Formats: sequence, C-alpha cells, structure tokens
Amino acid sequence: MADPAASATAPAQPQRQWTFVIDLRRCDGCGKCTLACQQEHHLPKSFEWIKVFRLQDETGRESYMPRPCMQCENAPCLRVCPVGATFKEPDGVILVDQGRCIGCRMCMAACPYGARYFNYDDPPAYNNPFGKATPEFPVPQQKGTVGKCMFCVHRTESGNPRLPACVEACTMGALYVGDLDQDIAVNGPGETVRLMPFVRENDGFRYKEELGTSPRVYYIAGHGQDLEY
Amino acid sequence: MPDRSDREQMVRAALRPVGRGGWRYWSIVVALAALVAWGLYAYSYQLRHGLGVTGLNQKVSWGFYILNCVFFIGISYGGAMTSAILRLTHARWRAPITRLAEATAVAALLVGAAYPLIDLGRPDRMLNLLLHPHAGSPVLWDLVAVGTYLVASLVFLYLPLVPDLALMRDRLGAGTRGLVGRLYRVGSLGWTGSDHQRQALALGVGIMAVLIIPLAVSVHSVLAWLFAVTVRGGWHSTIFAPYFVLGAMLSGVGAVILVIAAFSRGYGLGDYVGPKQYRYLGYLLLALALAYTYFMISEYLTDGYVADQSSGPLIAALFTGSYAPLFWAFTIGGLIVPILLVAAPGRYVEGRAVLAALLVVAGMWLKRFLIVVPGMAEPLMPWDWGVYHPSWVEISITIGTAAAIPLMLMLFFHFVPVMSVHEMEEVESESSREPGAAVLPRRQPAG
Amino acid sequence: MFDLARRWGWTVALAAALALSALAAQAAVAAGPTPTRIQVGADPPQADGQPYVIEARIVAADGRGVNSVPLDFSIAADFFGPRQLSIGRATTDGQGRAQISYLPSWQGRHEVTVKFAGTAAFAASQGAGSFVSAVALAPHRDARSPLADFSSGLPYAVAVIVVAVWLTIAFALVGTVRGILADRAPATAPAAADLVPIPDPSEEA
Repeated sequence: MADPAASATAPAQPQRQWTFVIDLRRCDGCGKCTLACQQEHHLPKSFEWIKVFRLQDETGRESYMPRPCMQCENAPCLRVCPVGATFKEPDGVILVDQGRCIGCRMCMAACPYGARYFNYDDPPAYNNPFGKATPEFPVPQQKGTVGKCMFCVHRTESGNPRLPACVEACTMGALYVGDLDQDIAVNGPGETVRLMPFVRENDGFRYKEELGTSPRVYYIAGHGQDLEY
Repeated sequence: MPDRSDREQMVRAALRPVGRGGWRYWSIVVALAALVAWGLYAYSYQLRHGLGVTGLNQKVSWGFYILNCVFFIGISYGGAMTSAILRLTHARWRAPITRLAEATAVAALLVGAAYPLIDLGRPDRMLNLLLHPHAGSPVLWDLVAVGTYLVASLVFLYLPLVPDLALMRDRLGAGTRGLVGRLYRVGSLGWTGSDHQRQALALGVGIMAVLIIPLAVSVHSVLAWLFAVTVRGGWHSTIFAPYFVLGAMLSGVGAVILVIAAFSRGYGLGDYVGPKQYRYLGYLLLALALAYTYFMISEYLTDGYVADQSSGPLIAALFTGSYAPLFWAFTIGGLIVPILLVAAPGRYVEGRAVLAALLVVAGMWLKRFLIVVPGMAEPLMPWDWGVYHPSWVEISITIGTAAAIPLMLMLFFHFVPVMSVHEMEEVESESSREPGAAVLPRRQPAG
Repeated sequence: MFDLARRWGWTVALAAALALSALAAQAAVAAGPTPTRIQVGADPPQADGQPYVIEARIVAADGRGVNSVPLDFSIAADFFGPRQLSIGRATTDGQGRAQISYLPSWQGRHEVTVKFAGTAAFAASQGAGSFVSAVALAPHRDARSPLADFSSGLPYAVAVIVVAVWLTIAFALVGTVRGILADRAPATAPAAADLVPIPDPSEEA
C-alpha cells in the first residue's frame, strides 16, 4: 500500500480563492500572530494588520478576537478609492498599490473593520529581498500611503507555498488559511479540514454579515475553551 | 435713472476704497498676511515631515482638514446661493451686497478646495486623480463637483464685474496705466452700456444664477456622500445630502452677514447697507436655522430611538458623553440663541444679526467637528474609542486659511468696487418704474 | 421468594456469560488481533451534481467482514504541501461495508485513503483507492453588490450631465463676452467730464 500522501493529486498550481477561518474557541489572545505579521512585513508596533481584540463579558471572563483584513468580496474600500490604488486579485485578495495611493484615507473611512493602516511616518528601513516593494509584498511601506493585511500572498502564491506568517505562528491552531474552490483549510499545526463543512458544522459566521460586504474570513464562536478533537 | 448727485454719491462710495488704503487697511492686511504666512509655514512643515505632524492617527484618520473643507465650502455656498437666489427673485435690497457675497463665495471656495489637497498623504501624486480616475469614488465626485463649481463661481463673479471694470477704466484716468490698467481695459471687454451689451450681460448672468444653484447643491451633496457612503454610525444616513446643503446655506448666510458688516463699516457703505439688509438676511438665517434644527431632530430622533450598535454609542457620546459639552454648545449657542436673536422684534437689528451670524458660523464649524471626529472615533470593532487632539500644525493651517478669506477679499476690493455699481443702477432703473421702491437713498441736494 | 430466586438466577447467569466472553477476548488478545485489510471503491454519481459514493470493505484474515467498526475516509490534497483531507467517518455494517457520500471539490484524480484505527480483536489497517472525478463543486463565485450591474453604467450618465453643465458655463461666458465685444467702445479716451478723481479717504476722514 503506497502512501497516498506522497503522490498528492490535486491539480498543479490551481487558482486559489483565499479565505481565513478563525476558531475563537482556541484563541488565547497571545498575540503571536500580530508579532509574526509585524516581523514578516517589518512594521512598527502600532501597525496591527492582524489585531487581537480583547473582549470581556459580564462575568469578567476575557475572550479574544483576531481581526485580519476581511478581504471582502464586496469591498467598501475598493469602491471608494479615487485612483484605483486598491484592487482585487483573481484569488480574491485585496491589494494596495502603494506606488499609486495618494493617501486620501477614504478607504480607512469606508472600511467597517478598521483593517487599514496609514503610514503617517517613515517605515523602518528594510532591504526588500524581492528587489522593490510590490503590492504583494509592500515592504518597506511607503510613507503617506495606506497598507493592510493581504493574507501574505507573497508566501501563499509563491512557487513554494508557505502558510501566511500569522497562521504559521499560531501555535493554538486557531487560524486556518483556506481555499474556497478546493474547499480546504489548514492551520499552523497542520490540521486539515474541509472548509465549508467545517464552518457549517461549527456554526461559523462572518463578522458584520449584515453590511453585505461578504467578508472572506469566517469565525467560529467561542472564548478560548478547551476542545477535544 | 437716478439723479446725478445720488449716482455720483454711490459711485464714489463704491470706488472710494479702490487703489487706496489708509494705515488701518494696510495694518489689517499685514496682520492677515502674517497669519496666512504662518499657516503656509505650518503646511511646508507638514510637507517636509508628512502627516505624522498632525494629531491624526489610525483610528481618527480624518480631522481638521476634512471638516475645514466641508466648513469653508459651506461658507462659499451661502455666498453664491444668496447672490443667485436674490437675483432670481429680483430682491432689490440685494444690489449693494451681491458683489461681496460672490467674492466671499470664490474666496471661501478657494480655501475649501485647498483642504482635500492639504489632507493628502501624497500631495505629489495629486495628478493620479486625473491619470487613474476611478469613477466610483466619492473623492472623484468631489473633484468634479468642486472643480465645476469653482469655474462657475469665477464666471458668476466676473460677468457682473464687467460694467464695473469699464467704470474703473473710465474713472481712474491716469491710474489705468500699467498692468492693472490693462486688466481693466481687457476685462471690461469694451463695455459701453449699450442695450445690446446689457441684454447679453443680463442673459449670461441669468444663466449663471440659475446654474449656480444646482451646482452648489451638487457640491454639498457630494461632500455629504463622502461620509454617507461609508457604513459608520452617524454618517451612513439618507438625510445627509440635504442636511449638508442646509448646513452650508446656514453657515454661508452667516458668513455673508459678517462680511457685509465688516466691509460696510470699514469701507463706509453705511448709506447703502442698512437695517433692511440685516433684517432680511437675518430672516434668511432664521428660516435656515429653524430648518436645520428640524433636520437635526429628525436625525437624532430616528437614530437615537433605535440606538443600534453603530449609532447608539455615538449619540450617547454626543448627548451625555465626552462630546456633550461641544454638542450642547453648538445646539444652544449655535442654533437656539441665534434663532432667538434674529427672531426677536425690536431695535439693534444690525447688532443682533451680526452676533447671531457670528454664533452660527462658529457653531457650524463646531457641528462639522461633531460630524467628522466622533464619527471617526466611534468604535467599529469591539469597542475602542479613538482620540484626536489636533496638533499645532493643523491649528495653524486652520487659522491661516481662515485669515486668507478676508485677506483675499481686501486685496480683491483694492482693485474692484465693493458694490456692484452697474447692478445698483439697474435695480434703481427698475424701481424707478415702481415708485416707492428706491434703493439709493434720496438725499437733499447739498445746499 | 421464588420470584426473587429466579431473578438472582438470571443475574448469575449473565455474570457468568460476561466472564466467559471476557475470557474469550483475553484469549484473542493473547493470540494477537486478527489482521484486517480494506478494499476501497467509488461509484460515480447517477446524475450531475450528485455526490460520489465511496465504499470501503474491511475484511479479517478469514475473509469475513468486520462489523461495527469505524472507518475514516480521507483524500490526498496538495495544500501547502501534501495533506490528508478528512472527508468523513462511517461505521461498517454486517458485511464490513461502510460508505460515505462525497462531492468532489475539484475535477480529476482523487486518491482515497480509508483507515481503520484497530480494536482489541482486529488490527489497524488502511486501504487506498482512487477515482477520476468528472464533476466537482461549482467554483467559488464572489458575492456582488445587488446594484453592481446598474451602477456600472452610472458614471457615463453622470459624465453626460457634467459635460452639459460645462457647456452651459462656456455658453454663458463666451456668449456674454461675444455679445459685449460685438458692441464694444471705440478706442478713444474717455470724455474729460467723466473723469472724476476718486476722493481721498484721508480727506473724508
């Protein structure tokens, strides 16, 4: 019996439709995702492209909610950009062309999730290994322009795909990166699930669904409880 | 035609400030210029160091600049609307003040239109708006609407100016040499006051007066949509466009009253601008303030009654929370008190109108602050309020641009008459057919 | 009393049976669990949009099906490296058969792995099979704004209005200027009588 894993048979380099699943039952608010993102993109501390919000219920129990960019399918930020500096890739990820952005910050006003960050000051100096900053890997950030999470497409879409920095850093396995077409998602520890069945069976939801933005991030409700799998 | 001595009095009053200025004039100009220069320095500082020198942050990313843009374009709006509406309704008392209103409109618009550029993180890439326009963006709508409105306002200021430029060309005699003289000669287009020319001018001014109203409405609607197309509490509102239009008219009429009061006093126009103008403008202010109050009640009642997650915390912050002092200062000081001031019968019409206008203009600035900043600071995610403290750069630029408006007006009226002589004559000749409706004061011949 | 004794008798009999079966199981363990093997097959769907039925049969060394044991089905996928994507778990019937239905997420070859974790009596095992899927879940389509089709034409309509406004402004300006110029004054000096010097403000004050 040959090990089937050795001959994986999904089509080579398919067009992905990137998505995130965030299992709040597992998030303990450690903030490693934020830190990994900032290291990956050489961002200052105030730039929390994936930000962990701390919530507290009436009993004082804390829970946590990481918020990356939602990569909305019906993205408000995309609509309001006056120069088309914000655009959507075929893989569903919303990118910012920082070479075109004029810094009007209309997108920040429009984003219902507060996911966009403006470079008020000079970003830390950094030598981009790819030569120059691209929308896929806008590092170093350009002063006077807007930046945000782009699901680490420089990792996921490379010839040798790697997990997004935050997913890789999440030792709790709360962050899954998925592909809507192949209906698959995987987290940092390597647990692989069928995307939509996983979301459905666990009563997943999308944040602020009522706004009609159709975010590409699914949450599974919870508050850091112990889970048995 | 009015008799010669009255006309001469009027022409003299209108032309008196042109080309001259006493020490008071120049000291005011120098003081204003110093403020403008300080504002320019602040802006150059911002250009060198980026928007990091402002009090803006990741949460409150729009602040003074955007609210100033709305405020100053609103001021401009009132000038154009007053002038156009009064023209179209043939209100005779308008004649001495249309020029001031139109010039205020252009000056305030220039300042207001500069603000989106001041607010840009990358002003060096401004041209991308033309090179890579994205028609779906309200920012681009603003660019088109404000640009069109600016051109229309300039035309609307220039056309009625032609006969007065001719007057300057003819009256200033020796003074018409040099560049200014050439401007008068070229600008007056060979005006002789013939019937044909009057008809052409009346048609052009009429078209512009009709056109400027929908343009002004469009500008402020588009400015409102800049906010209303987002999903933020207090911003995402169907009432916003007319609400902004009304607010603009309110602050604009207030500004016109202030400008008229200042210039009629400073330029000795007391014979032409009197209680009648203040009373009527006061009534206009009253009607607009009442309408604005009505809109406010409609807004806060519907939002506050439901108090959903997006607008509830915002209204709580405005009514009883951290923004309450500013909110009630505006509601009482910027709306209720001015309404009482202009509604009350009795003496001191001018004083009351000017005080009300001052309160309304200051109040409307405050209201724009209360629209922009809490809307930005309000939590979108669970549940952090933003904070915003404007830096010295933003305050300096605000003061500098505010000073730029009277400065531009004073310099402008250094070269052209502060009252539209031609228009006053036209109104006078109209009213001579309707006895008892004279604009020009009837005086006893000096004896 | 008689009734009670009979009940106790039943209980004793049950206990004895349990003890016997435990002994038997212990004997089996002592002999080692019976080896098993798994055969995997897939039935193509009857109609478009229907799932595949993937069936596995687990048999013991003696060729008899192992009943009432759970089998885990997974599919090989390439997602950040080779992965086993779990597609379900089913319990075997009396013949040792278990089946799940599966709608493929992509077209093409699917390698199915079925795993049996093992019990005391039966050894763990796994089997593999494959099928080539001609059908798959419809690819993901992005949600669109309900007004997307309508609003894409709006800029053109607005552009027409904007151009009309600009033309009107141009008409008002150019028309008036031309109208005035048509009747312009001859280039003569103004009559001396009209030249009234402007009073000096200092005099007036």
